Amino acid sequence: MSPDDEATPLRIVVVDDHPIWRSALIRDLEAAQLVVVGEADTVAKAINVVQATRPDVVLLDLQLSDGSGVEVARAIGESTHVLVLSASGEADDVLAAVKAGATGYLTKSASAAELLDAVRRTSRGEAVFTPALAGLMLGEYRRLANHKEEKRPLLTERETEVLRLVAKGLTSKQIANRLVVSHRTVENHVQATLRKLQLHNRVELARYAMTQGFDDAAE
Amino acid sequence: MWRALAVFRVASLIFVVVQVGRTYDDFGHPAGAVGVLIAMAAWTTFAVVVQPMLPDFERSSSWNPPAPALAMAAADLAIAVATLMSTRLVDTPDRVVTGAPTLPGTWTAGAVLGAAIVGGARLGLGAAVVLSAALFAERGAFATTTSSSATLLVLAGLVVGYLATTALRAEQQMARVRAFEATRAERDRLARAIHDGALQALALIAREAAVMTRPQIATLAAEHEAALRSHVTALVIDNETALSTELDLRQLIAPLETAWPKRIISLAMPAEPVILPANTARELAAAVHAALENVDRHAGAAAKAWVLVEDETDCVVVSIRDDGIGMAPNRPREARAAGRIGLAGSIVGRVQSLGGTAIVTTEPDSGVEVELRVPRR
Repeated sequence: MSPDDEATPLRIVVVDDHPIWRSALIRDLEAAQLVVVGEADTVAKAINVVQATRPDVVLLDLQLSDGSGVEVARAIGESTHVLVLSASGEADDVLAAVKAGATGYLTKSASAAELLDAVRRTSRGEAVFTPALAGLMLGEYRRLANHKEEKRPLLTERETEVLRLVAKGLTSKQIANRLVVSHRTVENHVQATLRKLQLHNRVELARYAMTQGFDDAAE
Repeated sequence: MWRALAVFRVASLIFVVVQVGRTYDDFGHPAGAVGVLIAMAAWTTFAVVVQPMLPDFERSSSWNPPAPALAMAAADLAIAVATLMSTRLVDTPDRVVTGAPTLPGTWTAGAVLGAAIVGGARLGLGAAVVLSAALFAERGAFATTTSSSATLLVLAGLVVGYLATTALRAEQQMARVRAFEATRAERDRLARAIHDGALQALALIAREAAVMTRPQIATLAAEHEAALRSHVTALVIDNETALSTELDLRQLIAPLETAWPKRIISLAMPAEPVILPANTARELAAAVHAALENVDRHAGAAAKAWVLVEDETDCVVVSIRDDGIGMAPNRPREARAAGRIGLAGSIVGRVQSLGGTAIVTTEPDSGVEVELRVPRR
């Protein structure tokens, strides 16, 4: 793991509307010497807690009692590492959360060990991909490629290849072996696919806000 | 349509009253004419109120009209014929023969329109023919004006009957679609509720049992989670497949995730529907099923499987990979020779019959990967 794990333990915020789930997650995180600095069960509380505590990683459920975790990701995704932990594989929600700035996605059937590994990787800024997320991303890029729009993000051939292998369940080590590149290169490719989509999403939002603004002014 | 008919009945009645009022002195029995008018007004009121409340005829191939509506149409027609014939009693023979307007005039057409609305073109035509016969009988000759009135009646009966049937069918279709939408919404709501509640709880139980080293409980919860998940998926699919000639391949692939309870299968698919002709989608899904069946049989107990669905513009690609024991590259041919046609027949054969290709890559100890590529036509 990263060298600063010992010196400063990772600070985590847990957002889940299910109290027993929340306490189970907190117990697992604390057992691994991570510090849970806050917890929340609603969108509003989550945003407040994250802004007040500035954690290293936010563990985010998508189903909250007063809305979707996507709204939380949208509010804090740019400044905080967000790892989505969701029961359902609602494709649109997952994609929306990732576009809003979440850099990882796990389902709740993941084991405690997988979760801890994912939290640590998220804290280092790595992308945590399940094969399912890779499949969604491939589909999203395919959709964007079919658009006429000029500024749409496109994957390089290598990035597509890497994403396909992730979707087929290969670990980044296996991918590195198969493509005869370094493990680091694979990670960079995976992160690039995520960053392009998030950047595009921000540009889209800004453009939308601008056109809306002009329309309002014209009225 | 009933409202339009009511307007027609009342308007034509007023017209008739005005007509009779203007030529009041010409009648042989003016008092009798007024009596007929009063009867017409009474029947108009009754028909306008009662007729819309009776059930419509079934517009199906079986001729099975509900009795009240049939009786109403018959009574309507009988009254129309009766008022028509009464012209001969209250008016002078001279006027009848020289083609003076019949006493009820256009009002009688209401009976034809009513029959058409309630029973479609067939009943509309029948009523028009009966009324036309009465017209000729009243006149006592095949006069030109009478013929054109009869033609108009037949035309009105046919056209209005046809429109009424079309409108009724459209209404029934709308009702079906609305019912379908309501069921779908309800099932989606159920699916969501189960996702949020039971599935999450089962996942939690599995997880906690693992921590407490209670592997049996963990397995039980995990198995039930998988089973429930596949039920939820099936719920949603039932709906979608019911009405369509095209299917979303994702919905046929989704249940495969939990089709082998002891096997971890991961699905990677786009967020958007992958639409294929229904038959292509079913065959391709069956090929994927066969490929996973193959994994379950030959890859070894610990092997996991991954399915990736990609929607290229001109084709759909499905890859099935496992991390099992793999096989020597010439195994598929041997398998076929040995009569185990799983890979060759149910996978490759299926995909080829769809005009697609199946590529199998394998190495000993690194699993098997099958790539199915089916063109989109």
